[in-house]
Amino acid sequence: MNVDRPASGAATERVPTSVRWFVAVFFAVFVASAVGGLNLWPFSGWRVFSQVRTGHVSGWTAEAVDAGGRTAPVPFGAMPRAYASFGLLMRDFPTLPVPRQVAMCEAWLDGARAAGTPAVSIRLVRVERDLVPRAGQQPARDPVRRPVYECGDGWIHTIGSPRGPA
Amino acid sequence: MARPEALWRRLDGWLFAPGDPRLLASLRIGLGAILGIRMARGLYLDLAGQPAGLFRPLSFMRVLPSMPPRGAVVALQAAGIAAAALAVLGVRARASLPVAWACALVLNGMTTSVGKVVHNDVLTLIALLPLLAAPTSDAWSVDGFLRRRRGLPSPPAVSVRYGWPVRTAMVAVAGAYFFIGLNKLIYSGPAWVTGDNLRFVLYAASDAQRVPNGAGLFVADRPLLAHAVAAVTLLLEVTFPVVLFRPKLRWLYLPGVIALHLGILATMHLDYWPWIATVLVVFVDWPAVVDRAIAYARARPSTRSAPA
Repeated sequence: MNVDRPASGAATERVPTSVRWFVAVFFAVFVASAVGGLNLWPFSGWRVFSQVRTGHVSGWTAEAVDAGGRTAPVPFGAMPRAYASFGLLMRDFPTLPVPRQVAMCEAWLDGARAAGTPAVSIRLVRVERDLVPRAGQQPARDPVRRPVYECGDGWIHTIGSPRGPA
Repeated sequence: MARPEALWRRLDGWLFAPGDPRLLASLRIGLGAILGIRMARGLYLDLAGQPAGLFRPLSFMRVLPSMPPRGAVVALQAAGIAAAALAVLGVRARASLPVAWACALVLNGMTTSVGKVVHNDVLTLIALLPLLAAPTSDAWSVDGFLRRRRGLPSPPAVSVRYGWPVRTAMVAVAGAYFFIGLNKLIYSGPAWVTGDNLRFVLYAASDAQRVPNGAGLFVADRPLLAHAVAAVTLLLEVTFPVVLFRPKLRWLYLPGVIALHLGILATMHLDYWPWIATVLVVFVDWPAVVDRAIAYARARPSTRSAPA
């Protein structure tokens, strides 16, 4: 990548071909990732808040079920940050093969137990809410909670539809 | 046919014009420092303990079966931070900067393998990429100091080898903002501004936090203000590349994007300080700032000693 630099100075310098190729490939990958949807991270598709949001949002929450059938929220806040991706991972959870669903569920179950929650299974609950109307700083209507999966050590049962009632 | 050719030549002439080694050095120092500070975070060690079932690799991280083990993460952090410090000082920057970049790439590959593309460090990594192939330590460096002490010939005050890395980084940063805005237009159209999109984004962000976000709700509760903020955001992003050819407009756009990121921090608690720092490092003419500071410092004693 050395530059051929004639004695006459910068005005007569030539840009080496290798530099031109380097820059051309850099911009080609940059643009292809941006417009072509290639996810060649750290090159990005730059889709940051690009989809229009609606006033209806849906997400997931997890409940720990103890031996007596009592439920309590899985304490993700008290668990290591390695578990903080629960909401992101649940986006495609319904489409994953069962062995992967079981592996994820076991990981959350172990994490909950390690955080001091006596759990024999995890219940994965779909939560739907309307952002408007508002009552002060919160949505006026309570969220609708719908258990969809229950899973434990080596098993998972579907107990509701991920898409909700027809 | 003559017009596109002339335009291409102008672009080529701009991109590969001679540059100041101090400007290139300022990018090495600034971006290297951002990289080093980011690699010192405890987040990577937290992720190292992640069960394999929760690993969602992207890009090159797919070669790994799970997050790297703690020992490997500690080694990457130690090597990366040390290399970044050497790069900032300008010690063997041809080697230290690529080592720092490679360590940061893997570490930040971990943070983006949790189910979502994480953009916080992407701009810094991409802006640094052109510098990996450039002589970044010919000025403002230990390498340069040692060269002078040994009596070796000084590098040129201006050369094409110092220009293209800086301008390539500038285009990449400007391009990032442009494509972020363009994607809003492609995937949402005018509704991103004219609809209630931003209000819903802010309501959802506030509702996801334990304590409601007063700043976010202030904007979300006022539809006209939300439309105005959305319009200014989109305009700022799509037109950001004008700073490449109208340097004076940096006085408008740099404060604009800084306000944008601070606004996102205040209303959504999303911390994009590496983007602010990267924009400032890449677009501020630091040699001119240093020259003025030196001139000011030299002028002060003479003012004091001047007779009344």
